[in-house]
Amino acid sequence: MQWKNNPDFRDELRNMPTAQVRELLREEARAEEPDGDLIRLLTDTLEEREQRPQSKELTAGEEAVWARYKSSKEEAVRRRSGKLKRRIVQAVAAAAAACILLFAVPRAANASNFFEMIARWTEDLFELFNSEGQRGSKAEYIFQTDNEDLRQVYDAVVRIGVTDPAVPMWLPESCKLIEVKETPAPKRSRVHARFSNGVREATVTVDFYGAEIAYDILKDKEIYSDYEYNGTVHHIIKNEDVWTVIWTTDTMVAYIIIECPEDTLYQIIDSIYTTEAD
Amino acid sequence: MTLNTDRLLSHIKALASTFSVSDIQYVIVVILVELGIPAKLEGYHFLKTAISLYSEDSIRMVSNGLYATVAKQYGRNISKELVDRGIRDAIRAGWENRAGRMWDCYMAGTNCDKMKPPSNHEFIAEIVRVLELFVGLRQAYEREQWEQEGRYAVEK
Repeated sequence: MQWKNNPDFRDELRNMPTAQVRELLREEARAEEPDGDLIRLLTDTLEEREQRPQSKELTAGEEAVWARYKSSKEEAVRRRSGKLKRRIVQAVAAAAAACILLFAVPRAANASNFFEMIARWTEDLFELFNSEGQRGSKAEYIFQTDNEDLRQVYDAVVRIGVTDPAVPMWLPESCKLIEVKETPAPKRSRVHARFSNGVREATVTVDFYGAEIAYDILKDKEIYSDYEYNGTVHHIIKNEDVWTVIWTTDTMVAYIIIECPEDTLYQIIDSIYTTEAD
Repeated sequence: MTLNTDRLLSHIKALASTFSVSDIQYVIVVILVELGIPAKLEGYHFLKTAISLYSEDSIRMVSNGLYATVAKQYGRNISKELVDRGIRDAIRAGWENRAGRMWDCYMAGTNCDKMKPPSNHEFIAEIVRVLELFVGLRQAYEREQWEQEGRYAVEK
């Protein structure tokens, strides 16, 4: 902290031999509690000197290392954006299995029948397996939304004991709540919410187990696709434009079924954890 | 967020001229501090260890569980969930205070592009990539130095 009381320190640093600046940086990096401001000042000074015209030209060695870094970086960025495309391809395979049931659901089917069908479908489709190390923990969670329908679902979910993020804070405006069904039970409590845009239904379902369930969900490898956000892996299945997203925490299994464009789906998943303003 | 390549290169060149490869843990400190990760957070220390372990043997760390290995190093009271959460909190703390820091140098192409902090894995992987750049540059400097010394000895 001493340097902060020295008004001439910046000037001294500017005139200091590079070797001495490096020594200061080494010292500070080794300190028990490194001073972030000083480290930044020192690295900025060294960086500035690296940018001087005479030291800007790259040697053959630097050139080779830099090219390797850039190509590795580009590859990583490509892989990240490719993940999305791969999800779609995998979902096409998923669609074959999923569409049989999703399209078999009559529009006029009552809520419990509809849900039972989906539950059976998920039991068939998903295999429970131990997934040690896969699940992450969450940042501080605050449910924040102006959407009263979603607030109602959230309140029901909290009432059955869920404390993990389970309800999106955003859905497309056209989705209006039809009903929220709350089924408390000792072993597994459930909240099932149905939304409609006047044409199609969307559902948000949360099963709370109370005790720790040391399982995650894996679908058949052929149709497995996932989206990680906030340390949680969300398994996604696509059937035409109908998406199913399913994820778990230590004590809960939740899933959303909705027909929407792909971008909207990711927006919905993200909104489980953060508001747009975040 | 586009990669600030000029800045990144001159920055890592400065670090490679300052630290030797055996000092890599101090380079990790410098990078984390530059990203504004508060050293007072437990997650900062978890991150330091995780990056160091991952850069030593990424394949083993992925198969054995990075968080579990880090947790083991910190004793019985630390669970892998705590490590995961600590790292996440530390990254978020740096990200929330990212203005004017080195985020555009180190983290371009990650979740930051979507205006969200990168995931733990993305963050660690990006830092390890930067460390590889550091090691490569440092080795190149040492090679150049040996060659110069060798030439000098021959001329002598």
